[in-house]
Amino acid sequence: MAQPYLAARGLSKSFGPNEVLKGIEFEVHGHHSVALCGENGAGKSTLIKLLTGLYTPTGGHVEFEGREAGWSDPRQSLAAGIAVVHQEFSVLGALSIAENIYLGAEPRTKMGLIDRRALKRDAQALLDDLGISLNPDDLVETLSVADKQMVEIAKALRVEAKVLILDEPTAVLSQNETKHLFRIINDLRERGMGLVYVSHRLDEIFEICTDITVIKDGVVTSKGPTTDYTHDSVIAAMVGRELGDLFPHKAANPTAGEKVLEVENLLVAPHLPPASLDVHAGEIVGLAGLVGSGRTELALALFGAAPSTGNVSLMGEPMPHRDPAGCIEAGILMLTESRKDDGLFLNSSVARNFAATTPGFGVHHNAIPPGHEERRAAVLKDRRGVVVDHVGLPISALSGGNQQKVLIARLLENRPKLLILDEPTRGVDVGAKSEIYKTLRELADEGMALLVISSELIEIVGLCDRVHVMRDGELAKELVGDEITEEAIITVAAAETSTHHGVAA
Amino acid sequence: MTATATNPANSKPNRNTVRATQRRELLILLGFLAVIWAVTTALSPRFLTPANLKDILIQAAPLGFVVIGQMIVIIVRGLDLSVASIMATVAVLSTALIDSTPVIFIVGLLLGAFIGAINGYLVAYRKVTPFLATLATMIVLQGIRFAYTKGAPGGTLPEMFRWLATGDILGIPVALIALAVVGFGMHWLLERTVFGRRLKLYGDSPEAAYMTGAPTKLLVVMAFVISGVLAAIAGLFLVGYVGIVDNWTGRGYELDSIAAAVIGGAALSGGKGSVPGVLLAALILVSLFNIVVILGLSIELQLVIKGTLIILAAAVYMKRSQG
Repeated sequence: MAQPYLAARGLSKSFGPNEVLKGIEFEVHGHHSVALCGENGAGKSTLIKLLTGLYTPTGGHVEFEGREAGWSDPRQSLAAGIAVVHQEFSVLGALSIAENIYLGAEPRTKMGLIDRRALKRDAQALLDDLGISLNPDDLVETLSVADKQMVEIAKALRVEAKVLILDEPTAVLSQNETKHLFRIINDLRERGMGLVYVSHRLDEIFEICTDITVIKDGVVTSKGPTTDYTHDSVIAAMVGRELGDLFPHKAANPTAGEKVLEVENLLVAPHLPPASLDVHAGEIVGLAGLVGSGRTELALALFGAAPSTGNVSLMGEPMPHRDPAGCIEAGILMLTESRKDDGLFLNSSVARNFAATTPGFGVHHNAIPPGHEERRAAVLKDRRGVVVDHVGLPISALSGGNQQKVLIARLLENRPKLLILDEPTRGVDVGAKSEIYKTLRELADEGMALLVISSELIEIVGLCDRVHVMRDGELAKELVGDEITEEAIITVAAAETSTHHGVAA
Repeated sequence: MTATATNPANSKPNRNTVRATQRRELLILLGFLAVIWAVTTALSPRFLTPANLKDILIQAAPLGFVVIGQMIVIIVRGLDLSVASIMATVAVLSTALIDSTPVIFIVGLLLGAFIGAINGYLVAYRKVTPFLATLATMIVLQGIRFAYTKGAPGGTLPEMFRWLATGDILGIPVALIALAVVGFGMHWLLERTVFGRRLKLYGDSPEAAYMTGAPTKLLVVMAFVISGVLAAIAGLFLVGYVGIVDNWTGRGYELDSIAAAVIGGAALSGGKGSVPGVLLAALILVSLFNIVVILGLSIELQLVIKGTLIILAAAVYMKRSQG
């Protein structure tokens, strides 16, 4: 085969002691589209950042047209012909399509001013070339999500690109819009461009990709032409381990315990359908669905951190007016999705973080004795297996897994009846993950009710006794026992709804 | 529980704990104060005399009250520009209306609490930025004050009032005793109570504080109330010390208290600050003023030094938070 346009040669990347990528070999050839597959946290986005020079590798190198690239800045890779369309949009709403496409590279007149006529002409030519029917004068904020995506692609291709990297481009697109995108992708490939396609949707990968590379835990576990693969073999390579190794046993009879949480017709937003669900003592209920399907919004509404209407009862007691303080008091505790944003107190000590939901560890009432916090924290640290030299150290000194253990431990100090966990293992290494799963199952066995939100299907499948799959803010389907499979969840979560598509919350 | 007290992993001193870092910051401040005092003593025999030191301490007392309040507000990510205006307004109104010293104090403190509550309400419930809310309060109070006094405040201060601000018990100035009581009280509140823990946690991360059940709005209101009350106390002590009530009592204290809070280790990004730290910083600022006078240097130099100190402190703390 001809020399690849872009390649990773033994590429490694570490953040501190965390080795995120190990000896990655990856090639992008012209006339080919490579799917980059892997679970969340497998290292896909790190690889893209290395390929484009946003990160510098700690081992190996990036090769461009057979030579070591040595980029230290994304502008260098862009100049060489590597274009990227990121998951998050970078277009500016208040500018026109043409202005967005040529942002920072506007054609100039002799006076050094922006040549508006050339700007429009070039933008029009580029859009025509890509088969995108949009008016370059239109403001981007008036466009649909799909059209914004097209502008992103046009922007990425304003320079002569050899390689185009698309990071989950269809996450926000409807089926028709996706079809249109695929036509453009196929057209670009036929013209000789090399494409990298990152997506969770296996159907799409099999539809438009010529090759597949699977990454798991920072290592390439499998690669080859798409024709060598089936859905199952890709999933096997992504997961790469027996579920039994990572996950504890499941509840024998999940709904046998008493109803801890009962939700009837909960309205999170006026345009969404009402949600009803319950969680029993001793079971782990999963909330699955795509990002933006409304899982977190539902959880925050239950916890009283977001407004909602409807009936929520805990142990049969109605809770009409909920706020976090009241929920904690009543026995509903929540681990939030983003530790750094609304979980951790980053400048405070490990001990103080341990005590945040019970300041002073509930010493009655004031006059917390000196050292009390540290002593209690030291006990908790040992009980929950948190690795830290001294509980007086700032929590920012801990690894993600240890931070997460602290956050879970502090919730348990309040003796929750219902524990809501939003992405409990995000940014946590595999070892700590399995410890967290074990802890959660133990809590369920002790009679706690757990509601777990996760984007990692494997986690939902391995951990949960019952699963509600969400789609467009709706509890679309409930799966129980053996029905809980990755395929079943994806089928429901990614199914097309004709009424409202696209615009993710 | 007691078994862990002897846990070797935790009895081992660690230089990088949050507390050890705070202790080092205090030592740096103490060292700095010692250095400027030593240098001045070497340059002038008039500095290190009991009378002069007592002067410094009495002068530092009003700033001490204000800076503790300012720090509490800064801990919850706020800023209180109205403290000087509260000082003057409380002093002008309460001394003009009442003759009895205890009643002056009670009314003054209530007035300070009320104004602080307005600040806190604007910030916590109306989402006005602390800078604007307290700037507006400052200006409104100024207007009320001038309208009431028609520009010329009068009235005589009761004898007991003067004694409180200038007198002493067993050689220790009353003002200092009051500051010590308030200082210990606030230190206890901040370090040993659930309320204090919540204040600091809120400053560290308001979002996380909300999600862990802290009464976030109440915390912010209470911080401004405390600042208002302490500013009121400071205003009363200051007029008592000066002997006359002035419309501009406490002028400049808003910026001096912010400066002292920052030098004393309070971070404008919230969550950080200690009573001993900011009191030491207040003492440093007042010492510098005294030193400039004692050494016969130009008064403008004091401003240069003050500004330099703020930059120095900010730089030191920045480095710390990165390292």
